[in-house]
Amino acid sequence: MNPDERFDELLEKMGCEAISEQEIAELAAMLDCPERRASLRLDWLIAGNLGETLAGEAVAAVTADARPAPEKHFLVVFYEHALWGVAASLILMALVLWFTRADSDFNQDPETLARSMLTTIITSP
Amino acid sequence: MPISDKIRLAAAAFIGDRHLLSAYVKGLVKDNHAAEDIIQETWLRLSDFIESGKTPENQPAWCRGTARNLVLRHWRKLKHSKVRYDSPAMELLMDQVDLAFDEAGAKDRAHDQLQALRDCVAKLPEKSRQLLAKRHVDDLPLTVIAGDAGMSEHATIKSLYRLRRALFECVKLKTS
Repeated sequence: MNPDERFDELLEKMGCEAISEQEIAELAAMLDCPERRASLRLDWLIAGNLGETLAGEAVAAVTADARPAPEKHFLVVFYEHALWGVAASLILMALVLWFTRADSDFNQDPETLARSMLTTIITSP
Repeated sequence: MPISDKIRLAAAAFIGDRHLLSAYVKGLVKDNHAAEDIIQETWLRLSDFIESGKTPENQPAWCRGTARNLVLRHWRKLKHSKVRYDSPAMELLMDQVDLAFDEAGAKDRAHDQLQALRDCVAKLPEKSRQLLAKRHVDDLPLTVIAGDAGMSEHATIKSLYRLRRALFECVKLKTS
């Protein structure tokens, strides 16, 4: 086992009832080095605050789920409505053109045309 | 300054430093409930100290010193311990730990590291987060976590250790 692995193992054992006097002395000797002390501080900072961080993460996820959809800008709403309006107009124009073509093909009088249009509207799915 | 204002200031500083104090105490005792009790007791002793008209010169160091004594008291209560907590080896170890927390810039670095920890935790797969939460939020015993995950106790310990190492490396990389 290399010294870094041994250091990690001793840090894990620290505070547990299984740690021996000899291992405590070994850990103290290993900590006589700024890098190892920084490692200990970071390791314990994570261990000491992981619960709070995880709980915060869970709260953030729940809050994000419960948050209502952001309100749309009025211009976006306007354009959405305008798009629907344009689509409806195009459909209407297509229908008018279709009826007009039927009229030109058979040269029907207005009454026949009206009846033909009505029949088409009623029978169309 | 009135005592109530002094206590208010001390409380604000205590909350500001609680991440490091929590790291110090939980790192030493490895038991969330015991650690929380020690942190609360530390605050009570600090407020009593201020109410008696005194002010600690260096509040974080004062709190750590008090917490250290409370940790030693907690250890003395453990029944199966092999260690004498007033031994020279333990004294030396505690001094090195104090030095680690006293080092210049430790507080600022801790702030960056905690931010990095939040980012690293957010990147973990859901299953790993749940495993860690069972241990560190719900404080469930290892046997229960292992049973839920369908793993052996040994495999659960290893998984939790590996996840913590992964977070350690992630935070180190983000803050280096």
